[in-house]
Amino acid sequence: MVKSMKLMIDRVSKQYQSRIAVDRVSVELHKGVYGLLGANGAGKTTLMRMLSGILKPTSGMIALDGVDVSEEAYRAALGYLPQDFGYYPEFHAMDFLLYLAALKGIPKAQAKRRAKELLELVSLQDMAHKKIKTFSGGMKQRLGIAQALLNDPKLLVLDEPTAGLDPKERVRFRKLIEDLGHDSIVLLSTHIVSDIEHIADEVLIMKEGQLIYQGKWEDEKGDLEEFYLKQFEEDAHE
Amino acid sequence: MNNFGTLYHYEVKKIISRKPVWIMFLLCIFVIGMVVPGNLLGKYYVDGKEIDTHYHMFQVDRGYQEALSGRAVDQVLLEEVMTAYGKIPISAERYTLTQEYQTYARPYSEIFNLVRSWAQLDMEEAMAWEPDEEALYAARRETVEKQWQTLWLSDTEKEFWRKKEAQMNAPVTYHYCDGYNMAINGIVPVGLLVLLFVSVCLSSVFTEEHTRRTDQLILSGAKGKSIIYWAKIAAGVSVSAVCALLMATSACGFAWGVYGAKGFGASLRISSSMWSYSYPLTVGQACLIAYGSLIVTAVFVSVLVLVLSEVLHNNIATLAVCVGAILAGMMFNIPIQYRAAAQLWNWSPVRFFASWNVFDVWTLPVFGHCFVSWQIVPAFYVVFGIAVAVAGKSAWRNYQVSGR
Repeated sequence: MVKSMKLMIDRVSKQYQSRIAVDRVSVELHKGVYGLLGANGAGKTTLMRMLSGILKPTSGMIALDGVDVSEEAYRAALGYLPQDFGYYPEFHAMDFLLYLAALKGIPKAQAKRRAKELLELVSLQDMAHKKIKTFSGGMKQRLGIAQALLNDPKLLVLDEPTAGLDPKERVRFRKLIEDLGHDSIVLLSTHIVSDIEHIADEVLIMKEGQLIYQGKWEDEKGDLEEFYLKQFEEDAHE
Repeated sequence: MNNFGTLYHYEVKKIISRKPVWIMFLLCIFVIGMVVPGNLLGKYYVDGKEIDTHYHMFQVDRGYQEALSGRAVDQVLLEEVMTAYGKIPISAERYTLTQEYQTYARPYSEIFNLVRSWAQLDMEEAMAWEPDEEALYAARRETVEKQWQTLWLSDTEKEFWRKKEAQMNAPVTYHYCDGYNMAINGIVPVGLLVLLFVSVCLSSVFTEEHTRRTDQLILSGAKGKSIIYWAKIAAGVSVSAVCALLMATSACGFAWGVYGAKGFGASLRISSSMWSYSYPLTVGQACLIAYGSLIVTAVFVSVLVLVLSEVLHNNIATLAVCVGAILAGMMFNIPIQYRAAAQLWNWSPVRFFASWNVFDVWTLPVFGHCFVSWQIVPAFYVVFGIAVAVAGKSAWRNYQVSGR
C-alpha cells in the first residue's frame, strides 16, 4: 500500500520585529491542488518561502512525511516556483535546467532526459539552445515552471505561476497543475480567482498573516470571487 | 548524488561568461606587457642631447654580460675589472660618457656594480678599491650581517642565516640572468593586477545570486545549501589560480622574450636586487618561488573576497574593502622596530606578493627550526583559506530570503 503524502504545517509564524507576517498557521495538506488566496501583504509569499526552506519560521514546524523543512531530503522532494525569480542571461534554457537539476541532485543523464521532456511540455523545445536573455516574460515564466518540475516533486509550491502567461498558456497550465495534483501536493498562490476555481481541490485564504479559510469551495457557498473580494472590502473599512 | 562536478562547471561558466572578467583580464595582460619590459622603451639623453636608445644600450650591455657568463667572480676577474676601470680618467665629470669607460670598463660594469653593492662602496671608494677576492666575500658577509642587525633578527635567526651562508660556494660564478631578474622585479605590478582582478571578478559571485533573485531557486534545491557553496568557492578559487598563472606566465614570457631565458641556474648572489639573500637559491628557483607564492596569494585572496561578499551581501562594499586593503598595503608601512607587527603586515596578502617580502630574512622559528617566509606564509594561506571558507559557509546556508 502506498503511504499517503502529508505536508504538516504546525503553528508556523514569522515575525519581523514588530510585524507578524505569518501568524500561527496550522494546516495539513495531502495529495491534491491547494489554492492559496489573499491580498497583497496577507503573508502568502512568506508562507511559501517558509515551505520552500528559504526562510526560517520564527516558530512552528513544517514537515513533509515527517522530514523537517531544514533537511536536504525535504528539499529533494520539493519543486518551487518563486513569484519573482531570476535567471542567468548568458545561459541557454537547457543549461539553466541542467544546472538546476544538478542542484536538485538529479544524475546528469537523467537530468538531460528530463530537461528535454520539460522543455517540450512548456513548448520551449525550439529555444533549448537559445540564451535566456532573448526570452520574453512568458517564456521565462514557462522555463520557471519547467525547473520546478525537474525532480518530479512530491511537494510543488507555485507562487503566482500563471503571471505573465497569455490566456491560452494559462489554460494549458491549469490542466498541467491539475494533473500534477493527482500524484503530488500542489500549493499555488494567485490573485486570479478563476484559476483556483477551476483546478483547486481545496482553497486556503490568508488575511493579515492568518489562515481564515480552509476547505473545499462548493457552489452552494456562493461565488468564491465575491467572497474573496469581500475580504478586501472589509480591509478597506477597517 | 552530489553533482559537484556539474555544479562546478556551471559556476565557472557563470564567472567567465561575464564580459567585465574578460575585459579586466585582457587589460591586465596588456599592462603587464607594457610594464615588464617597459624600461627598454625611450631614449637616453644627456644635457638634452640624445645619446642612445635604452634598447640599444641594453643590447650592448647584454652582449658584454653574456661574454662574462660562466666566469667565477674571483681574484683574476676582479683584477681585470679594476684594471679596466682604472683606465677611466679621474677628472671625468661623467665617467660613463668617456671613451675609456665605453671601451674598457663597460664590459665589466656588471661585476663592478656587484662589488659596489656587496662591499657598500660609493663611486669614489669603488674606483680606489684594491681587488681582493677574499676581502670582497668577507665584505659581502659583513654587509649582510649589518642588515640582519638593522632588521632586528633574533640570535636564532642569525644563526640560521649564517648556516645558510655557509652552504653557498665561493667564488660565485657569474651568469647573465636578466630575464629572471626582470621577471622577479616585475612581480609587484603583476601582483597588484592579480589582486585587483580577483577583487573585481569575484566580488559578485555570491552577491549576484541575491541581486538577481536566483538565490531562491538555488537555496530551495537539495544541494543548494551545501554542495553549491563549495562549488562556488572552488570555481572562484580555480578561476583566480588560472588567471594568476596566466598573468605570471605572461610576465615571465615577456621578460624572457625580451631579456632572454638564460641563467636559470645562476646564484641569487649575483642578482642585482637580491644579492644579500642568504638562502642558497638560483635566480630561476627564486622566480618560480615568487610567482608560485603569488598564485597561492591569489587563491587565498579569492577565498577572502568570496566569503566577504557573502557576508556583506554587497559587491560594491566588498570591492571597496578589497581596493582599500590593496591601497593600504601599497601606502602603509609599519616601522621595523615593531618587528612582530611589521612582519605580520608584510606577510599579509596585500604585501606578500612583493619579492622583497617573499625573500625577506624574517623567519618563523618553530621548535628551533626557522621557516622562511616563502615556506611558511603560503602554508598559512592554505590553512587560513580553508578555515575562512568553512566559516563562511554558515553565512550562505543561513541566508534568509525575505523582504522583496
